[in-house]
Amino acid sequence: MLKVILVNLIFFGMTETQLESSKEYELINYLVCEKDDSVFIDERFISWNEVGYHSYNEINVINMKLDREFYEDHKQQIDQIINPTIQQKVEPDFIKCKVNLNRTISFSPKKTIYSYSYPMLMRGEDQKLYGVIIERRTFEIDNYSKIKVFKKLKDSWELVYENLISFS
Amino acid sequence: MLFLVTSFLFTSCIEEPEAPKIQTVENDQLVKIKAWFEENKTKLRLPERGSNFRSESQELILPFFEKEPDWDKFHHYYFPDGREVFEVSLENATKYFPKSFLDSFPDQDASKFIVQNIMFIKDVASDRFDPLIARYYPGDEYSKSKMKKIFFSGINEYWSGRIDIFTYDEHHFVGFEVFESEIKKSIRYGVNNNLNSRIAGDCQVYTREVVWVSNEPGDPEDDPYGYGTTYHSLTITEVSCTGSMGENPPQGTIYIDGDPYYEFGNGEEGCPDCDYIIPVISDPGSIILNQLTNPCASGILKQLLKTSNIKSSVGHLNQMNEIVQLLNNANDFDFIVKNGDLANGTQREIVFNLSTGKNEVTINLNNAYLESATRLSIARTILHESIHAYLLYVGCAPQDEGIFYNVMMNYAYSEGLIMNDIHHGLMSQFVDAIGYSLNEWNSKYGGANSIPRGYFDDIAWGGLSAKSFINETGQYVWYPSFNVLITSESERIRIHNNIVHELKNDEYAKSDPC
Repeated sequence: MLKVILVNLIFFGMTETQLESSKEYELINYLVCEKDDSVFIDERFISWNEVGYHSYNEINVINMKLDREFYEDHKQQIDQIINPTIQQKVEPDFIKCKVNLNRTISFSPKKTIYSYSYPMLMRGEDQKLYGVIIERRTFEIDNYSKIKVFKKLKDSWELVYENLISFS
Repeated sequence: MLFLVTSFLFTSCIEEPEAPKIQTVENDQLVKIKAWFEENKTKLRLPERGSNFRSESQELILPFFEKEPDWDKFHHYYFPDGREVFEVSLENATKYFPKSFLDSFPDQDASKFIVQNIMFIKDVASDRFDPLIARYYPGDEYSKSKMKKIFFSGINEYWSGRIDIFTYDEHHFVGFEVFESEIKKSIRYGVNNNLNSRIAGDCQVYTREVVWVSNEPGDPEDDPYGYGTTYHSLTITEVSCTGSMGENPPQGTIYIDGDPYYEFGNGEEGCPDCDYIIPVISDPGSIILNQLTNPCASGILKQLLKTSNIKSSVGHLNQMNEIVQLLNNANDFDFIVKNGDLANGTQREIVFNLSTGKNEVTINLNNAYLESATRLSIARTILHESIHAYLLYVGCAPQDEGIFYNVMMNYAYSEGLIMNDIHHGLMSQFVDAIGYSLNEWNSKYGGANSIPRGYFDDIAWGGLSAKSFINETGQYVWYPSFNVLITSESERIRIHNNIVHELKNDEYAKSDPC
C-alpha cells in the first residue's frame, strides 16, 4: 500500500496530506459516496488519453473561458494526469465512505462497477472551480461512459453538464 | 462568464466548436478552385493530338467530354508530401471502364458502381489546381459495396480492384491494380521497344488488346451484349510493374504522337510554362479500419467484413423492408476497430464524436476479453458493435438531416433513457439477422460443427439481455425488448447463461477460444 501511495504522490507532485484533502478527491468522494452500497468502484482510474482526450483544451468540453494563471500553475500536474506513464489507482484510504473496490480484471457476474477518470480541475474566468470527470458504469457485458462537468459549491458539487461518450 | 448549464443525457451529433470553421475554410477553398477551373478549363489540354483510342502511337486516349463536377460531393485531403487535394465527384458524367471489369460483374450495369472523380491538386509554387481524373473499378462484391465513399487517399483496407488516373483531357496516365488496399501492379501505356520482355526492375512489357467500354449507346456491332454500351478496342504496349514503383518511378507516362511528353523522374515532366501542368501524384492511400493487434480477433473481423455477413443474411429473413435496407446500408459504413486495456470488467465499448468534431466511430475491444472469450463471442460482439456504429452514423449523417437522430432523441427524452438503451431496443429487431450471420460465419470459419442453429440466436442476444442485478431479490433486470420477446424467465436465464459461457469460455462454451 505504501508503495502505491508513494508512486501516486510522486506522480501528482503532491504530499499525502495535500492529496487526501485535494479538490480532486473531494469530487471523487462526492460521486462515490452517493452510490448504492451494492455497487463496486473500480480501483483503476480511466485513462483520459485512452478514451481520446489528449489535451487540456479537449477536456474543456463546455468550452469555458479559462483562467490561464490556474492552468500555468498546474500545467505539469495536468499533463501528467492526461498522459500518465503508469496505471493510476484509487486510494481507498482517501475515500470517506464505505466502498467495495473492484480489483477483478475479468468478467464479473452480477456486479455493477463504476469507474472514474482522475478528475481534471479548471478555473473559469468567473473564478469558479470546475471539475471534469469521466464516469463509466459497467454491468457484465453492458457499459456506458459519460463525461461530466461539476461546479464547486461551498460544501458540494453541482452537475452542470454531462454527455454520453461511449457505450457497449 | 459561463455558458449553458443544461445536462445532456444523450450522445450528441452536434458539431464541436471547431467543426463549422473547418467546413467554412473547405468551402471557401472549393469556391476558389471552382472559379479557377471555370476560368481555365478550356486551356487544360496537352499539346495537339490525333484521334482517340488509337494504336499507332501507343496512347490510350478516351474521348474528351466537358467535365461538370458535382461540387457538393468532395473529399479533402493531403498527399504525403503536403500538397492539398480536393477530389470532386464526376458522378453524372459518361463512365469508361476496361472490359475485363465488365467480365467480373456479368449481367450487371457496371456504370452504376464505378466511381469517377476529378482531383484538383494544389501547385505549391503557384495558385493553381491542376486536375487529374481518377476512375475506380471494384474487383469483387465486397469492394463493390465499398464504392460510395472511396477516394484516392481513402481506399478501404480490404478493397480490391483497379484505379486508373487520366489527364484532364483523358490521356491514360497510370493505373494501379490493388488487392486489399495494397498496390500489386502499376500500369502504363505507351511506346516501348522492349516488347514482351522483362525490363529494368520488376517491370514487364506486353502488347495486348485493351478494350474500354462506355455507357454511351453505340452501334449494335459495338454492343454485343446489348447493354447500351460502346466498345473501343486497341492493341497497345503495356508496361506492368510489380508493386507501386518498380525500378523506374512509373507514376505516370504520357506520349504525344509517339514522343515522350511526360515521364516522372526522367526529366520529361511536361512543360512548366504550359496552361496544363500534369501534377505528380502519390500512390493511393488506404484507411486502416482493422487496428486489432490480436491476430485471432483481427482474423474474425476480416472474415466478417469480407463476407458482408450481415448483408448476406437478410435476404433469407422475413424482415421489414426498412430493417433490410438498414442492414444493407450498414455494409457501406466504415468504422475503426482496435483493442486495448479498458476498465476492469469491461468487454468492449464504442467511442464516438470526441475531440475531432467528426462523426468517427471507434470500437474498442478489451484485451482481457479477447484473451478469455470464444471466437463465437468475439464475432457476436463485432456484429453487435457494427450495428451500433451504423446507427450512430445514420443518426449523425448529414444526408439524413438528423431526422433519425431526432426521432431517437425525442423518444429517449420522453422515456428518460440514454442512447444505449434506444439502440438496444432497436437492435432486438436484428437478433434473427445476427443469429443467422453467426451461423453462416461459423459454418465457413468458426470450426465448431455441432452447434445447433438456435444456439446462435441465443448468442445474438449478447449485450441486449441484462441491465443489472438486484441482490435483494436475486433477479436480473432485463432490457425491455428482451423481456417482451422472450416470455419465459427460465428461457431468459438460459439464453443469458449461454452468452456468459461463450464470453468466459467456460466448460459449457460450444465455440473454440480465440
